[in-house]
This record gives sequence, structure tokens and C-alpha cells, in this order.
Amino acid sequence: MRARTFGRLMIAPAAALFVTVGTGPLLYALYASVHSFPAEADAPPEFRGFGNYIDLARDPQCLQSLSTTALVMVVAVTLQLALGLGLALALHRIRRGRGLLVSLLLIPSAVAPIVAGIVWWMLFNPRTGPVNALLELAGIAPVEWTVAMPWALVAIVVALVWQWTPFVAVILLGGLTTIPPSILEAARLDGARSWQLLRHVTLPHLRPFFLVAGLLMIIEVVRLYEVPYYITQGGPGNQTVLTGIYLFKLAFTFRNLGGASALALVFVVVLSAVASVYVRLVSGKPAEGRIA
Amino acid sequence: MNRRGSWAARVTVAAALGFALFPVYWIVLTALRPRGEIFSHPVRLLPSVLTLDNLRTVWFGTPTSQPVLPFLGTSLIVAGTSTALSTLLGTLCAYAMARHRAGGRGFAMWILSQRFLPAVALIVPLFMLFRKFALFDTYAGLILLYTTVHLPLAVWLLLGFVRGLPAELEEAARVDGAGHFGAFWRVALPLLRPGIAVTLMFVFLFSWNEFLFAYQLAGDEVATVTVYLPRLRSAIAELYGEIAAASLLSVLPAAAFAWVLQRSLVHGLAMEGGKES
Repeated sequence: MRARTFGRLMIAPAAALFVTVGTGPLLYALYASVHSFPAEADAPPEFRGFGNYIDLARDPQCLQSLSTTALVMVVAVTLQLALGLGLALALHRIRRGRGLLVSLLLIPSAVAPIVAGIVWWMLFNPRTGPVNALLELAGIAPVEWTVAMPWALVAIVVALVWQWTPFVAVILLGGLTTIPPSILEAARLDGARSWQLLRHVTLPHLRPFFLVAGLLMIIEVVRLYEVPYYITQGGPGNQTVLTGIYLFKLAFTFRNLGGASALALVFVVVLSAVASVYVRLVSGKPAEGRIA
Repeated sequence: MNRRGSWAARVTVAAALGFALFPVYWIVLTALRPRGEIFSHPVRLLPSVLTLDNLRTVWFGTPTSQPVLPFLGTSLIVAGTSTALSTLLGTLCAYAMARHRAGGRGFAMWILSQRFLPAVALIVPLFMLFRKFALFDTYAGLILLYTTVHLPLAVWLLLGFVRGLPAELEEAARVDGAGHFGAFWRVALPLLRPGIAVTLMFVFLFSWNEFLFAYQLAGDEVATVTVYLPRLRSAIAELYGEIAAASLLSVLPAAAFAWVLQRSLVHGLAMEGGKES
């Protein structure tokens, strides 16, 4: 058997799965997004061109869900990356017991998102949860976390930061360990201060690691469903309905499968756009005054 | 390193540890508390009495709520089968991509792009297709889905490990008359064991934790433990203790699996190192 045939045979099963369960459904969504599906099971779908897309553009709840998702994504991902960097720098300075610390810190990321939702729903419970109890100890009035804005969104962001920041920190820690100590040493001998080292040596070096961590977080946050589903159930007054939740409402509550398919495709396009902007932002412009 | 910096580092890590672990403490505490103490006011941060009542209720079920065990079983079947399949197909695929450049760069990017397809975008068309092909609410459907969505992760993890293997060993086996498959199966595969262990661990964890597909494309006949958890929440009685106990039980199998694999991984790496020196 020739090497080429062998290679093709080895990748064939995986490729077949990707076509049937990944790319196939996406093409089907393209078909579904320009049709409407009558409630009767055997009635044929009706072609309606861009009608579903136009409806979405006029649907205030859809637009609100998109802007809420964008807000949560920007705030949560920024916090995850910034706090993750701080934690990674701190972990990098600790030599003894680092492995154990990392394992403990990664527990939140290993927990199922639905469990993360449950945990924070309990912690933020206005009457029985410890968050308000701790606030009370500090002399701050209790907050109706899950039913008042903007606190419901704050609760969701806190849960996201809790679950993924250590994960980001571990990726960035991996990057920090690949910086040759000799470079840091040389810069220090040249009289660079700590923050100069950080800005001109460490951060440029971490760029590819920020790329990976940021992209993973963007995907993780936009696909968000479990945490808001459990903590706020979309409330108060639909104000925490993120696009993921609205999509299912459209599909399974309103039975508007064509509209939901259209929204799914819009979602994929917007996500790819956001991801490529992020990639350009992180890897695009050359660092000024970088130490060569 | 100056002294002030290392103190700041310790304080940061300690704060992060507290933030990461306090919720874990709270869920364990709630699971082991009697009902009266969960609802006591003011909220008590430390326990005075512990009980196994909540765990017992969740384990054996009550007239109004189902026992957790069958749901754990379903999760085990679905996550276990799809993890094995993903890792097997991922190993074949990654090996051929790394060693024989099968599919080329385009194929590699296509696989990566699959990972960027959010589940929320796939569910609506999958829902329609699953209805059409009678895969809705079946083991086969859910296993097929999990295998595919976690395959890109498996391939990308394993690619790194295959690239790290020296090709000379397989070339030597080929000179000795082994076929392409023989060189892969008898020479490369045993050396890939640490990579396979890492892949099994990640894929199992993701499959075990999956909620969306299990909730929207299954859930009546085939119900995993992540679908069971939200069902415990009822408007009439706030079953905090029971929900916490069930959450705890749902996390344990995945944690145990990860722990065992991680241990064997560390052991395996230590053995490899020993052989080399």
C-alpha cells in the first residue's frame, strides 16, 4: 500500500464525521434559514428568501440579546485575561508546590458549567447565600443579585471569571516558562525596571499564548448558556437573555426553526469576525521598542 | 527577585486560591448540612452539625424525585463510548496528518474551524436532522455528536505528541519489513501512550460536563446527569441541600477519572525518563 493511500484511509473516518455532523448541518442551516416551517409535521417548508433575516433585524429582543452578549463577552474576557496574567506572573515566582497549586486552582475549570451555574446561584442567593452575608459583615446592604439589574449580569460575569481565569493563568504560565532567563537577565543588567521588563520583554513574548487563551475564552463566553440559564433564567424581564438562550427560545418555544437557523448563521459569522479582529489585534502590530 | 515582589506573588496566589475554592467549600458544606441550617438566618459560614441525609435522598430518590444513579450510568455510557471513539479516530487522523501529511494544511485548518463552530449554532439544524434520521433522544445520536465535537480537540492534542516522536524508530521498523500500519500500530502507538492519556482525560471531562446537546437533543429516554441536575430545582420547595448533594455526586466520577489518568501519566513519564537515563 502506498503511503498516500494509507494516510487517506487513516483520516477518512474523522473526515466523514466532520462532514456529516459538522459541515453538513451548517449547510442545512443555510437552507433552513431561507425557509419557514409550518407547524404541521408533513407540510413542506415554504421558501421566504431573506424574510427570516429581515425579521431578526426588526426583532428588538434579538438585538438586545446580541448587545448583552457583546457586553458580557468584552467585560468577562478582559477580566479573565487581565486577572489571568496577574495570577500567572504570581505563580511564576513561586517555585515550591507550584504543581499542587495549579491542580487546586484548576478545579473550577474542570467542573461542569451547569454545576458552576448551580454553585453561583447558591452563593448569590439573597437570603441563604454567603455573598450577601459577607457584604453584611462589611456593613453593605444586601443585594438582590439574581433579580435586579445590573447585578444579575455581574453575577454571570463573576461566575465566568471564577470558572476560567485559572485556566487562562495556566496557559500564560506555560508561556512564561518558555522565556529564556538569559533574556530577562540581560535586560535587567541594562537597567530595565520591573514594569519595563513586563512591557517590553514578557508581554511581547506572551503574545501567542494570549492569542490561544483569548480565542478559547471568546468561544467559551459566546456559547454561554448554562450559567445564565441556571442563575437568572434570562431574568429580570429578559434582560439577561443572551443570544444562546434567545436562539433556543426562538427554535423550541416559538417553533420558528427558520428564524433560529438564520440567527445561528449570523452568530457564526459574527463570531468569526470577532475572532479575526482579536487575532489581528493581538498578533498584528509589531511591538514598539522591543528588545531584539 | 526582590523580597517585596515575592510577597505580592504569595498574596495574589492565596487570594486566587481562596476565590477558586470557597465555592467548592460552600457546595460541599450545603450538601452535608441539615435543612434547618441551610435556611438559618443570619447565614452561618461554618458548620455545626453535618448529615448524610441530602446525599441519601439523592442516591435513593424520593416519591417526587428520581435517584441519581441511572443518570450517572447514562453519562458514563455516553461519555465513555464517545471518548474512546474520539481518541481512537483522533489518533489515526493525527498520526496520518503528522507523518504522511494526509489532507495537507487545508484539512488541518478545516478541523480547527470545526472547533470554532459553537454548539448553539449547530443545535437547530441538528435538531431538524436528528428528527429526520430518528437519532433524536437516542444513545447513538448523542454518542455520534460528542465524538464529533470533541474530535478536533483530540486531533490537535495528539498532533503535538506525534510530532514529538522521532520518526527513525518507525523507519527502522519499515526497513525490517513492517507495513505502514504495522509501523504505526506496533512502534508509534505504544510510544504515544502519554499523549493518549492526556487526550482521554480532556475529552472525557468535556463529554461528561456537556449540557446543551444532552438537554436539547435528548433528555427523556437518554438523560445524562447534567440534565438531571436542573430538574431538581422546583418552585415549591427549595431543595438546596439535595441540589448541592447531586452536584457533588455528579462531579466525583469525572474527578476520579482525571485523577487516575493524571497519576498514570506522571508515573508513565517518570518511567520514560528512567529508561532514557
